[in-house]
Amino acid sequence: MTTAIAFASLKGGVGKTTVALNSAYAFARRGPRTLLVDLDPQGAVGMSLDGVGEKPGLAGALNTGSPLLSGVVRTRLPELHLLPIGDVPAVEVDAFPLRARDEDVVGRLLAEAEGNYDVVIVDTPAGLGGMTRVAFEAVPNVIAVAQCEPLSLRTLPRLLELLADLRGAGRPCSLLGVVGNMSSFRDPVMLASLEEVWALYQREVFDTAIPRDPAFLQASRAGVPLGLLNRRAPAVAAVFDKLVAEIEERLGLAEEGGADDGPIRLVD
Amino acid sequence: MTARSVSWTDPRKIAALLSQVASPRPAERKVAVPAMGAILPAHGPRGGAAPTGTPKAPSSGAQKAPSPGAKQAVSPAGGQAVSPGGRPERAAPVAPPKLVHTSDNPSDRIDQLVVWTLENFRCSGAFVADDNGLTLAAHGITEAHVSIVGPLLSSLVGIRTVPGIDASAGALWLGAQMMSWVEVRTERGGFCLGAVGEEALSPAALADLKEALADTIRGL
Repeated sequence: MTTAIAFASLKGGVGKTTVALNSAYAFARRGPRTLLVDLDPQGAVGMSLDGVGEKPGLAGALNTGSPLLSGVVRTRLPELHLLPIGDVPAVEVDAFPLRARDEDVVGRLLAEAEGNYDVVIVDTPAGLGGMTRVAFEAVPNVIAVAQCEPLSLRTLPRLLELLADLRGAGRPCSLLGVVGNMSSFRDPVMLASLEEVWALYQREVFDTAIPRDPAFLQASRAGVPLGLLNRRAPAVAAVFDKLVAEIEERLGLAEEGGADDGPIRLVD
Repeated sequence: MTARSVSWTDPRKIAALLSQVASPRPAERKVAVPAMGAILPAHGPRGGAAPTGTPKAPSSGAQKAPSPGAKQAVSPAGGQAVSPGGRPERAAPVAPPKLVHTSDNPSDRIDQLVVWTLENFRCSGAFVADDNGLTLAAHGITEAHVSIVGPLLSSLVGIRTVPGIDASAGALWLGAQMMSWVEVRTERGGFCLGAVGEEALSPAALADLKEALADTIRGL
């Protein structure tokens, strides 16, 4: 069964795309067949990864009437595929979500992914309307990305309100968790923000908080996931392994090893 | 919202929203929350923190002398007496001794309340939390039990708008155990005393707990 997870935030610039793509990379490294889908009409994933921005992607498949997964881009990791948004003209950015809703793009996409992928990671644009709303109507698991700064925290309740309203309307979406991003224990405001995320959202907050780190800027400049920044990945790349392990636990995926799962001897 | 708040967010509102949108977890990690302050007995007379779903073993020599009227043999499952015919019978309710505080220290008083609850009521764990879900003292419970206090008490606000509904005590089925709770409200907000066990506590027991909680937090 395919598990779909959307990363979202009302506020822009909190690091949704960075968290989504590095989480997708970490998922794939752990073994599950993973598809990273860009639902941002402005093409955040395509702008973040070198060699992806020019691909026809989702919009190309829609325009040609092809299966949506025909826009998939394969990666160096056999377990990781990407579905960039493709070329959405700037003048059509507003209209794209309307078309996506009319044509049930996300629902069809998840149906096509069923059986072909174990995990579908959905990157959404900033805000709660447009493609984010379209994503929430079909994706059952939502992870809120909370930048460790005041404004991001103040917008979080609105995201919860939207989820509550959609659930009230019969949609299956639910909050899988809140992940703190760009944290720093050296900055008092960032530290206070992270503490307040923990206090307010309690068990919904992932234990893993993603720190502010210069490696993110370097990876962005190179257009690669953190894990591929160089042969020896920077230390901060490991936080996504931890985050993904937590996500798997919350989804129950960690228990799919079955009754035979257990400790594995290091030495035969 | 407090003066220190970064988010300008009402915790009650968040708790209420989370109770609506949080996804269910497949399995809770059984992490015991350590009690604050005083060292609590590792195993109370009622078996301490037995694993979920595991029948409690009969208590060892640490058990107190049985109260008058409780002379029937107690089954390993705890709480039910066995008649001569082998048919389980519910033990006659025994009034707990009144909680007498010997300290004015708030932490000591709350710890004492938890110990008293464990010793005198049919439960394997107990805790005291405020209405934000902040644990003040706990023994033999999981973090999950305490974390639902905030959403639980917030949800009761709406229920109390119904005339004649007190809703300051109750029990909740957690899937493997029952959590019984009582709430006492003060000028500083609500405080919750919870007891986790295989069965819900009786109304009389809840009344005793509420009285003890009110006495404990009076003046804090």
